[in-house]
Amino acid sequence: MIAARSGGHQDGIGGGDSEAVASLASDSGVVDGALRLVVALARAAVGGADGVSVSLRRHGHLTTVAASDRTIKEMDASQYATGQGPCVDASLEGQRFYSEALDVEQRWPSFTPRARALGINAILSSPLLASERPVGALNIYSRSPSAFGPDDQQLASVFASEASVIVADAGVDVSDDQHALGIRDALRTRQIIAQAQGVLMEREGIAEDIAYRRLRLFSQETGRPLRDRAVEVVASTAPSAILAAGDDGWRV
Amino acid sequence: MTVRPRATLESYRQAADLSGGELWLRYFALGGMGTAFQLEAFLHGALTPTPHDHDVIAHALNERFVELGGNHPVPYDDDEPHAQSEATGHRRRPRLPPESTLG
Repeated sequence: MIAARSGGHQDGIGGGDSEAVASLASDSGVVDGALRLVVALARAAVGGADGVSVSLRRHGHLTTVAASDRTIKEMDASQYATGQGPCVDASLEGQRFYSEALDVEQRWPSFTPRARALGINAILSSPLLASERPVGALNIYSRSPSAFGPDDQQLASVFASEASVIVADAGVDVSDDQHALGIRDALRTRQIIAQAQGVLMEREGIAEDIAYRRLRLFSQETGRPLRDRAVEVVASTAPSAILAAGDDGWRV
Repeated sequence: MTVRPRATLESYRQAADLSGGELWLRYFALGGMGTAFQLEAFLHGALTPTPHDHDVIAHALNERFVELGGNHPVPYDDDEPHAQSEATGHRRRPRLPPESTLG
């Protein structure tokens, strides 16, 4: 297993992330709103992520429905225009495409120079599937080559899967807003547990899986949620870290 | 490693009254790395989770059973009968059979 990352890179490729995310909607539908939140969460959670977008095929053409900033939206558009790039291929073939270092990338000769001109050096595109058919991609861009390790790729797939569920099952059980809130809370819990693991690993000199097991056993024996124990462990070391972890703090 | 009959996790999910999506959120929150589709395959025995992933699923279900007034009925991969806790030094709670889950 891995611990959830405490955060991606702090500065978006194009800057002004939060406002840009809100302003880049292709329409005001709740599905797009939920996908924008997935984009924001993926950018915060996947290590090395400088920009994230979601592309969907609508009316026969790929379009960007959510992007963390304007440069990322332009990168997507360059792929649509050239018909090349990991986003295009992931959306067509339903498989993950990862370009680890664009300076040696051979697969997309028309697109790659445009990306490099904007300082992008690695791109990871994970397919979105509906009824087992590819319908789009979750795209993660980085300035750093070799930015995404195996754990980052797996985490990207998790977010792509969740975006797929939103696309495929929009409005079935709960509203997209409720679904997005659930993802946000889940991510926060995941982060505090990862922090607590780190504290235990440092404090007791134990491995990551043993630290997790300690937390789980405590929960198992006391009947209290694992999250509550994680909050206590983190708070025992640096109380201020609790508030630093989220915009409204962790609920204890 | 514990030998588990197929579909055991799915039967616990149904007993816990959680949808697949609800369980995935809980599993993800607790550190699970599988997608919603992979989790569904784990539940039905189509894929075998890693021991860690199995225990994360088990704990997500067990926390739900506690919310419902039950115990921790879902066994963990590293369970050993009457094992002494390495977390608190206490013996673990005895596990109740699934039919007693909801107290």
